[in-house]
This record gives sequence, structure tokens and C-alpha cells, in this order.
Amino acid sequence: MVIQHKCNNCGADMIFNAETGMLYCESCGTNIDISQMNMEQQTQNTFNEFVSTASESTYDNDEATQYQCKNCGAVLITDNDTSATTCSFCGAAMILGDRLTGELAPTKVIPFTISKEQAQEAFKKWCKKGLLTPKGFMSANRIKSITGMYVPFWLFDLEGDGEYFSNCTKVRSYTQGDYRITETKHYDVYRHVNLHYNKIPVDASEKMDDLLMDKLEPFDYNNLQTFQTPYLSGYIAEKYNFTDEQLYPRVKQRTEEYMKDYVRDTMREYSSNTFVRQSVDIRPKNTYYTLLPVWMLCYNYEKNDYTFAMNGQTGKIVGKPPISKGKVFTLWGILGILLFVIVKVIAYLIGGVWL
Amino acid sequence: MRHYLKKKIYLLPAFLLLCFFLSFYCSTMIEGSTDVKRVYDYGDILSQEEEEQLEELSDSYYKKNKYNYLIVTTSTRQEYERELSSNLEYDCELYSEAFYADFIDTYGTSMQDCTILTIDISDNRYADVSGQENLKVKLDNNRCDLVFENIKSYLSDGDYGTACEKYMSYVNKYISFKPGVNPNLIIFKLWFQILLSFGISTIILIILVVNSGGKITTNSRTYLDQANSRLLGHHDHYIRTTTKRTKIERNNSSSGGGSSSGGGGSHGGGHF
Repeated sequence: MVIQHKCNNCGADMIFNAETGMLYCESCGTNIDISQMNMEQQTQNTFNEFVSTASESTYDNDEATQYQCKNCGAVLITDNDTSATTCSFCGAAMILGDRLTGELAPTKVIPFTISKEQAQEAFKKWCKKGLLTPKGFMSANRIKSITGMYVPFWLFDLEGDGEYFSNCTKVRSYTQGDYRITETKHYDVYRHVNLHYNKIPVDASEKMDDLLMDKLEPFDYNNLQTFQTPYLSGYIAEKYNFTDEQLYPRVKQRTEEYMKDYVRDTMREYSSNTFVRQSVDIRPKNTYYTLLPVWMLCYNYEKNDYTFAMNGQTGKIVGKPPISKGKVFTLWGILGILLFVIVKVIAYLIGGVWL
Repeated sequence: MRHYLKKKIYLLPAFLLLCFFLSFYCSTMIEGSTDVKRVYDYGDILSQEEEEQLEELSDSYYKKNKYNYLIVTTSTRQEYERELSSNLEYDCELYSEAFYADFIDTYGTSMQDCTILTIDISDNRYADVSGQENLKVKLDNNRCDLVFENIKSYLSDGDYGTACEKYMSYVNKYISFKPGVNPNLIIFKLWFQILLSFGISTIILIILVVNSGGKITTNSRTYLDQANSRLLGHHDHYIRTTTKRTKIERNNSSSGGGSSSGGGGSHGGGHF
């Protein structure tokens, strides 16, 4: 079952425009506000209807599924996780509705706000800023591919109730006659907190590197929309590989750390603190299956491919760039000499002599 | 004619400059020629050659900074009239002070900024480093001790010539520091300065390389629902206080010979 959004005016394929946040017809320039669109076009409650008309899904096994483009009739084979893509023959946006319905229906989406051109420009700028990247990497325009992708995330609302028992100390040091006296006051400190966390995102795609996705955060939730298929038009989208239940241990661990940080903040007046006992109860309140916008950039440098991810909403770029050993060494040397001069000046200020 | 004049005008500054250098040269010639004896080897532990070398060295230091670097050696401590002390270390300081008084008597108060290395090679085997007048502050008790520590091994080995030479160079080095600063602070050591600056540089570079791929910009407060989160209960019970006393190591050397008499200088030294 393939959904392709057609222009009401001319019948051409429409794609989502990141700059305006509307569906855009490249042929006649028509813009359609997604929030005003007919709800029936959504996929969420029309699964049965889709199944009855789903003749385009012609082939299915564990590895790949075959879809047929409504425009040109070409057969498109996708892997099992793809929920939106473009036809490799005519370039039409294809949304694979059967992967966005029932259990797989996303509840929320943050649409792209950075367009492909903006992403490309921002990435080039970022490359140039790299202090340690090789010169060729900075100047060359070697973006091999740039793909706008909706990555499946689970957003967790959680409530944590925790009791923490800690040994804290306050240290005071002073001199008395010929003695230096270090006075350590010991305290038995207890904190009971009830903390709520909203929408902690956890990457639900198997393909995406967890750390890379964590680094992409934070997303601005003010632009969190109720999911509608037109948002995916023109982008790649994936469906989740892990359920919220499967990801819960990961978010729980993260929340535990967050709670501990919060408690630590309440003990700032102490010089040291050691947790001796804690009982923490974390309960999930809500989970939202959400698609978040990520630009995936593949960059070729000296026959190696480097993958970068850009937050499609905020523009934050993450990914390991190549590091130039020469530059690292040069910078190390310059910095070292600079610091050496500073140390010399400090020594001079203390001793009154250049040594 | 005009050309000739022009040339002359150019020559004038050159001539003035020449005069300036010439006068400077002459003045140093005159000062250098003042015949001041600065090495007194009563203990006869320096060879004639060493003595001459030390005199020359001391004279060159004097020309540089107008400080007298004096050396006196004794085996009897009886060369100068003075009050005696049963405390041999203090007696050595008194001897040094008496020697200084005699030196001033001989050469006048214009030569009063002195540093003195007194080597007592009697059974006492004690060396005293002292600073007088302006050098009392620049070469305080602590620095006197440091000079002694640096030359102690040469004295023990009986290499008095080298010890005297090193004494002068260390004094010269230490008096250039701001008063009261310990010249042995680690920050003044070249190896430490290099290690520190390149160590910090290494750390910065490691951070830069690690962060080149972007860093995590969320923290524990990013997703916290401030409105609904709260501290439900807390207590902070004081249990006990532990106190640690550590004695502050002060450099209490055998110094202070002059401090009681007011007119004396700074001292530092020890047995070798």
C-alpha cells in the first residue's frame, strides 16, 4: 500500500517543504497546510481500508518488500524498516502506509525545518570550522549523499520517586600558630524526591548508532506535531525495530542518573558526598512513538566514507570527522608554546625575574 | 658647501654617541681599577690561582650590580676582635659580622652592600652565608640557607674553589627574585614550565579530538518537568567533627645572628 500525495490543482506529486512547513507542489507551486488537510487521508484509523486496496504491495519476505509506484509503475524493493522513500525511477515521494498503521502508527512527529540546501550549506560551514580536520576535507565539496530521514524514537514520560541517604562532609581549613588545622564535619543527609521527566527520547532504530542519536539531542518539542503522512512526503522514514518496552531499561538507567544529579544539586553546600543507600522507583507514564527529523550526510574523503547526522530541526551536527595528525601536532605545538609564554609571565610576576 | 654642511650634520649624532660610549668605558675603567680585596683566605684552603680567579669573578659581579661578594675562610675564628659565643654556629655568625665591620672600616660605607660566605674549617666545619644592608632583604635568611644547601656538597668534598664560585653565582641568581619569594618554587624550574604548558596543551587537544564529533548537550535538567517535580523530604543531621592538625614546617635554620643586635645582616648556613 503506497500513499502518494497528489496536488489538487495539477495532479503532480507533492513533497513536504521544510522552510514553510507545508506540502508543496513542485509543478504548479501550490502549498497545502497539513493541519488543514482532510483527516481521512491519514493512515491511523484506516488500516482495514488500506489492506483492501493494497494491491501495490506485491511481494513480501523477511528481507525485503516490493512496492509499485503509482506514477510510473516501477517496482520498488525496500527493506523491512522503511516506511517512506522515493521512487528510484521517477523520484516520486512514496509513503508506505502499511508500515505506518496499527501498532506502527507514529503518534507524533517533528517536521523538518531545515531544507536540503540549508543542511548542505550548514554542513559545508561546519566542515570549514574544523580546527583539526585535514585541509582537503575543509575545502573540498565531497558530499556523496544527503538524505532526509525520519528516525523512529520513543519519547518517554516518566515519574521517579527516590530516597537517597548520603554521607556528606564540610571541610574547613585554617592555621593556628604553627599548625594547619583541617576540620571535617560529617553529616547524615537524606533526600526524598519526586521527579517528573517529559519526553526523554530514545532511538528505536537498529541501524542508527545510539550515541550518535543521543548527541543529536535536544529537539525542540514546541514543534511536536500530531503525526500525519504528508510530513514524510519526500523523505525517507524508518519504522521502529524496538518497542517501548524493549527500550525501557535504557531510559530507566538514564533517568536514574538524572535523578541522582538532581539530588547532588541539592547537596552543593557540602565538600563531598557519598551515597550510602538509595531506593528509587521509576514508573513510565506515557510513551509516544515519534518520528524525528535527521539529515544523514555521507561524505567521501580520501576513499573513506564518513557519516554525519544533522538534527533536522536545530541544525546540530554530529559524527566523527577525519583528524589531521599534522594539524593536531601543529596546534599542540603552538598551544604549548603559547602556554609556555603564559607560564613564564606568571613565573615572572611571582618571582620578578625571567626564568 | 651645502653638501658639506649636510654631511657634518649627519656626523654630529655619531660623534655624540661615540662620546657617550667612551665616557661609559672610561668610568668602568676607573671603577674597575679600585683595588678592593674581597677574598680573605685565613684558613688557607684556596690555592693562589683560585684566589685570583675568585677576586676577578667577584670584581666582575661588583661591576655589574655594585654588590660585594665576599669570601672569608678561617680555621681559628680569631682574626677579628668580637664578643664570643659558646654556641659554635652562632659564633660563626658573630665572626662573619666582625669581618663585615672590619671590611666597612677599611673601604667605607659606600661598599656596605655585601654578601659574605664564611667558611670555618676548624673542627666546627661550619659555613655561613650572609647578606648585609641592601642585600639583607634580597638575600634573606631563607635564601642564605638555600645558597648553603647548594654548595654544601662541594664543601664536604673539600672542593672549596668550586664552592666559592657556585656561592657567587647562586647569590647572584637568588637576589634577582622579588623579596620574600622562595627561588626554589617549582614554577621557576624550566622542566616544570615545559611540562606544565605542554601537559595542558595535550589535555586540550585530547578534549578537542574527542569532541570533534559533537558532544552531548543535554543534561539532567533538559527533560525535567520543573512544575511537578519536588523535594518531598530532607534532613541534614550533624554527626561529628574530626580535626587534623599538621605542623607547618618553617625553615628554622641557624639564622638570625643579626636580628637581635639590629645592625646585623641575614644569615643561613650549616655544618658540612
